[in-house]
Amino acid sequence: MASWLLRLGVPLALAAGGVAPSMAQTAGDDPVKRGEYIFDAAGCLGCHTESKEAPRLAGGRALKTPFGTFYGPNITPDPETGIGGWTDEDFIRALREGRSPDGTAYFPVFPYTSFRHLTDQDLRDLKAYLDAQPAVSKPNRPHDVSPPFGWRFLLPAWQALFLEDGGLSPEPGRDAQWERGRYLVQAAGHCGECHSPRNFLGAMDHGRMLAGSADGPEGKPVPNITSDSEKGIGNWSPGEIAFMLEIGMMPDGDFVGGGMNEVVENSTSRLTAEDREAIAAYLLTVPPGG
Amino acid sequence: MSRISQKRGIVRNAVICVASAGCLVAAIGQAAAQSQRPVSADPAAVVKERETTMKSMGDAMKKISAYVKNEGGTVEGVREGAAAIRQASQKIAPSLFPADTGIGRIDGSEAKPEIWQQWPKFEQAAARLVTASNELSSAADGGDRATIARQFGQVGQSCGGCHDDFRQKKN
Repeated sequence: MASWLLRLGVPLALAAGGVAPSMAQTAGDDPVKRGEYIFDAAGCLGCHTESKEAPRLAGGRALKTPFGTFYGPNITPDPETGIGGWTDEDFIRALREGRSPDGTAYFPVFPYTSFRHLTDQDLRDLKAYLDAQPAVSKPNRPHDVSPPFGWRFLLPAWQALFLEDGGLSPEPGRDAQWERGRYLVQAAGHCGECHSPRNFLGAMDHGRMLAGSADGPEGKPVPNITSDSEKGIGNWSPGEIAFMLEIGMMPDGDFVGGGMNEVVENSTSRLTAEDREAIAAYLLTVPPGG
Repeated sequence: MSRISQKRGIVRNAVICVASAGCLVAAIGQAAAQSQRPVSADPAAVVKERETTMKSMGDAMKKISAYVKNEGGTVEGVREGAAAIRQASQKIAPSLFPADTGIGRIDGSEAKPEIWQQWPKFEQAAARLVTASNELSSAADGGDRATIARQFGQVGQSCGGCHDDFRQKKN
């Protein structure tokens, strides 16, 4: 199934001045262009930009969680307040192990638990893209987290407990489309970070992956997106899932909200039609949980 | 009446007058604060009407998407749908969200308190839908599929943008 609007020659530039989806991740020999695609697939813009009017990627976006309010940091190439001067290795360590170049641990509100599954190539491309963005000097705002969750020195213990091995191993009997869908959902898109329940220490419950969460961002419920036909999206067709990811419309004509519209606008609408179909194909195989 | 008692009377009346004026000013102030956003005579009925209106817009969007996706929809259907959305969208800010119809005030409401805390922003979001639906109507009249598809996307973004900020789905 092709992307309807693209087939009509309409780039789905839903955002003001938006761009048409770039080439697929594997295509092209420009790392910045490839990195832009990863950047969109991961939806980095949302958490790292304070508002639509604020400087892009300069941080300050408030993320209310049950553990407190976190503020997304500046990821522009500014050497003082951003990530200017980081090496590729610094960047890979941050996204895979949740540690800054000086060794400090990051709070898992930064979804390195998912990003650790990204390939080396994709991480290097993503860094190339970020390096090519305008540097903005804007100091990071300190998080506002209640004890004991705000105790950064406890984070290495949390990481030791909950960081699983990186990389997604092949599963027998699954085709390339399914693998691609799983990669987009579990690694780049980090869908489970909002759509899975968490334990009392804030770690994702992998046994109930994507089965919905009673207290997602801002403590609000997030829906079940497993193949469960009652509670999840098991009775949606792959085309309906792909169309929702493209434009935000659910099968009944209603439009997503609660933060998902932002995901559609910044991320899933910018993917290729093939990638949205891959996500749909994968989601329809996720076992009902919860 | 002695002068003294007369004076007392004047003082007493003045005190009463000032006090009641003060009370009156306070009362008016309070009423004004509460009536920043009007309440409704029958909030439950408004929530019902709101849901019916939103549902009608959803049905219209579904109808239009059938044309956009080439799944049997017609330009005529797009035109009808666009007109329905345009009419419904104009009711949103003026009449569908009185101040006593939010979550916790009325059973089943999905309207977040942010609507009334950030009324100008909410009004802007509703205005965006009015504009987008007007443009969709024009596109439907023009009959060009690509333009219709683009405007359909704009309407969808208006719906979703508002739902992101102001709606908390029940399930």
